[in-house]
Amino acid sequence: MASIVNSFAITGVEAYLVDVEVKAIPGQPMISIVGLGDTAVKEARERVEAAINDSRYTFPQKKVVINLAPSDLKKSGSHFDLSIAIGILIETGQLALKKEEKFGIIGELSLNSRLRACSGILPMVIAARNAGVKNIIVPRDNLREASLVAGLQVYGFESLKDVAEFLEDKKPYQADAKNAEFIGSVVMDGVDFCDVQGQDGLIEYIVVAAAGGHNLLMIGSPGCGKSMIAKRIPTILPSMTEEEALEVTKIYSVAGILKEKGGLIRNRPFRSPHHNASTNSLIGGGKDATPGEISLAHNGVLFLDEIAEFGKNTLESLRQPMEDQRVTISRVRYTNTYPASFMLVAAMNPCTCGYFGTDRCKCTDYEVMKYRQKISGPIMDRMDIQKYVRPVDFMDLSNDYKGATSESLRQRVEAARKIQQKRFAGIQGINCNSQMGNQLIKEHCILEDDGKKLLMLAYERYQYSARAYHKYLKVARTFADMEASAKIRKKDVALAIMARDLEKDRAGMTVL
Amino acid sequence: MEYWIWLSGLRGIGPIAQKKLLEYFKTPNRIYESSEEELVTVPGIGSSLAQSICEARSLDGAFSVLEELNQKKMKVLAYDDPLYPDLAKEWPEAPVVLYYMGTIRKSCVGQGIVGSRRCSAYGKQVAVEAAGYLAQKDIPVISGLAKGIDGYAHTACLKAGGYTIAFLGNGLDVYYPREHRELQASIIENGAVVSMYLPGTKPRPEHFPKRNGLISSWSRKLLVAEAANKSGALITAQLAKTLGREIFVPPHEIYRVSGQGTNQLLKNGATLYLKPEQLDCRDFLKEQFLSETNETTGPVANSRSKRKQNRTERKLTADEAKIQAVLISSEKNIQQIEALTGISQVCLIERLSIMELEGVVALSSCGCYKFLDC
Ligand SMILES: Nc1ncnc2c1ncn2[C@@H]1O[C@H](COP(=O)(O)OP(=O)(O)O)[C@@H](O)[C@H]1O
Ligand SMILES: [Mg+2]
Repeated sequence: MASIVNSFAITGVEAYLVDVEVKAIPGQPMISIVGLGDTAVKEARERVEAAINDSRYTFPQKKVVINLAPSDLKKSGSHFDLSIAIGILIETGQLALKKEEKFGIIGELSLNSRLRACSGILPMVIAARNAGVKNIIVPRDNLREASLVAGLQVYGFESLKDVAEFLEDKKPYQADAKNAEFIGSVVMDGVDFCDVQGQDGLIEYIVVAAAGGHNLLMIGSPGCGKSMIAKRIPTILPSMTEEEALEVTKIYSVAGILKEKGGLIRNRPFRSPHHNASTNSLIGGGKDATPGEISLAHNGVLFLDEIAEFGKNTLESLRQPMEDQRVTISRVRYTNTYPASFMLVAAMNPCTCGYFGTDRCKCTDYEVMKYRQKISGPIMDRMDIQKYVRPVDFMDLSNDYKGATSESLRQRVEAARKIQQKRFAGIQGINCNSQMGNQLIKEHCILEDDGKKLLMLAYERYQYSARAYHKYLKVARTFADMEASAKIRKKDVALAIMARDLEKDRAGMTVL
Repeated sequence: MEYWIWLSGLRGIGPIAQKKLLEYFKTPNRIYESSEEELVTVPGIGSSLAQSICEARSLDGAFSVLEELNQKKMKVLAYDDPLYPDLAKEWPEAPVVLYYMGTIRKSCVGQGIVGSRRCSAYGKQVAVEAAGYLAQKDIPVISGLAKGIDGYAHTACLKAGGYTIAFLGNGLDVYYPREHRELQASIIENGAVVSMYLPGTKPRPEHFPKRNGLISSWSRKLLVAEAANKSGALITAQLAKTLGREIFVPPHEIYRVSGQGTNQLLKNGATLYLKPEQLDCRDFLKEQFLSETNETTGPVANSRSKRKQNRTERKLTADEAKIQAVLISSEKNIQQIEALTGISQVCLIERLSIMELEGVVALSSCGCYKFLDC
């Protein structure tokens, strides 16, 4: 009978239970791993052999066959090392298993038998819990991450020997004192919205965007403060729910970039890829189909500065994920699906020369339109809020001018988010106003009479499409939420109508 | 037609000499068939010219041009064509053959609108308003398809359902500037694109003065919307002046480089342009007579009064009255309004949004609000 140890494999941000079966049979000494493992899995045999010998166990002089079941699913990663090594020790009688419970075993081995941290711990531990595995062994460096999952016993070790002796009941487990619950705190690198002067009007729209999860485009001449404002957006984002935080942490875990040795990510991510980023790095890919920036921005903000400079195809690739709120990446070896529900914040110049709207600009209307068409219609269409950033004339400002602080703005955002959470409780995939479909809009965007009148006036004047009409309603909904108003008032409509400067601009252009 | 093309293509003989020949022989095929001795008797034709005309006696070139024109759906407007406007013939250098696409209609002389390629929002506004006005009056808008003012004039005319003619300094199948390719196509639908150059001719600097001559000669009046000191529009104006056409020029700020050429035109006696009605097509006396009484009619005034009707009549709130008070003197941006009224930006946006919808204020492309007094 073969010896069986439990481990896990990852697909996308989910994991599933894998039986690591080990059988030693008489024959030419060799080790072969079957069950659709990738190179990292196959190379486990070298690491395992070195680690076993290093721990003063002996590697069997037999033919060793290892099967990773279910054998018809592709598996990747180096985290099978430890389970394979333990399996071999059990199979060759060098380890007499004393524990009776089922153990899940995860860890990469170094050549001198130390345990190395792996990526994807969080989804694997969640899979363990869901599969009814009550105990799990991980490298010590992954202990904090694994401990994020409640409902099972997590053990962290430093070497193969430690694990073996623990399983043989030779040595009791010593909990790490350092492993106190990690409290994630909101630390921002010292930037605050009160640094931005004279832009209160614009900032109100930024706050609304953050509160309602509306995509935001800022257009303005170089130096007018677009990047400065965008950098401050993380300081006003609402905190994440436990569930959201876990989703984000899972993605970072799989991507192998979980910082602070695997604490729960509590701040909403803010990702700002450079404009020469490749399509792969943006939406995900590479040979292992790893998550890209849009997934790393899940539940947070994806900031594309100088969006007009991004490759056309790169931008176009954002379309589907924005629609679906997730992305599917197919590679020859894998097809992975990652969540990608983010708020898109973008900044761009208004025209080629950058000074449209001032005397300095000599671009023709055609050139201006061409420049803006670098962002395709469907992407532009998803920008609920499109605001001009006008340069501030500092002569107009008194010296002691101070805008609202990020903290006060964040509290307003938080309050508006609470209302939305209540509104959308129980509706799968909808967390904020920007995600409302037509049905929800109809249900939740009730206008007061004079608000309706004003919107009709705008509708006639600017010849809105039905789509645009819905956009304004969603933004107006968020304005109303900012003041906890159940119905949308005239005031909210008035402000929402001013949310799309570019649309108005187009009407003033003399082009065919 | 082949004889016309042959005549226009003769080397060393410009349009002036070509027309002398026409005057003498009446038709181009008679020129083609005449002997060297007969040719020398035409005033202005020396013996060497006469000799070269005789040597060039072959229609092969003309036929292949005709075939190419046919293929490319281009048409020929010869000097004796009834559609060739008499007004345009006042220009001594008027070409004996023009190539065009689209339709040359019976009354196709119109008003020219020209100006800088790189123009200001002001220049653009002048051109757009004038072209829209002319379109409503069904007066052709003549221009040169260049970037900037020219393009705006054609576009605004087409948008208002008008008829417009564009003169090119290159062959009709060469798209210059590239960005006006679509514009060129729609001019062909609703007007004509005209050139004296054969298909395939590249735009060259020396072509443009002649193109400008065509614009001037096909226009009764010429509006120079905006021109800096060495702008090509000034050449058009110069030619128009020699042809005795009235030149209209809007005033420009004296410190701004972009309007220095036009201001110079004003100083040199161009007519001060203040409203599109000045471009109406009536004869001189009538215009004098009507100009006073007609003040309040016309489409522009009409649209203003329409806006007035649209405007919701109601009492302004206290904040709105404050806003109105600071906007009456000049347009201002939101920060300036905030500084002057002490009303917070968010409240201002809310108010201005409503006031804009009600037609009390308007937002310009630079982000300034202005008060609309009706
Ligand atoms: N409203 C403002 N208040 C304070 N500083 C500003 C403001 N606008 C611009 N600045 C200053 O100008 C600099 C350039 O702004 P930046 O955000 O880089 O402009 P952009 O990204 O629009 O080109 C900022 O770092 C900041 O110092
Ligand atoms: Mg910037």
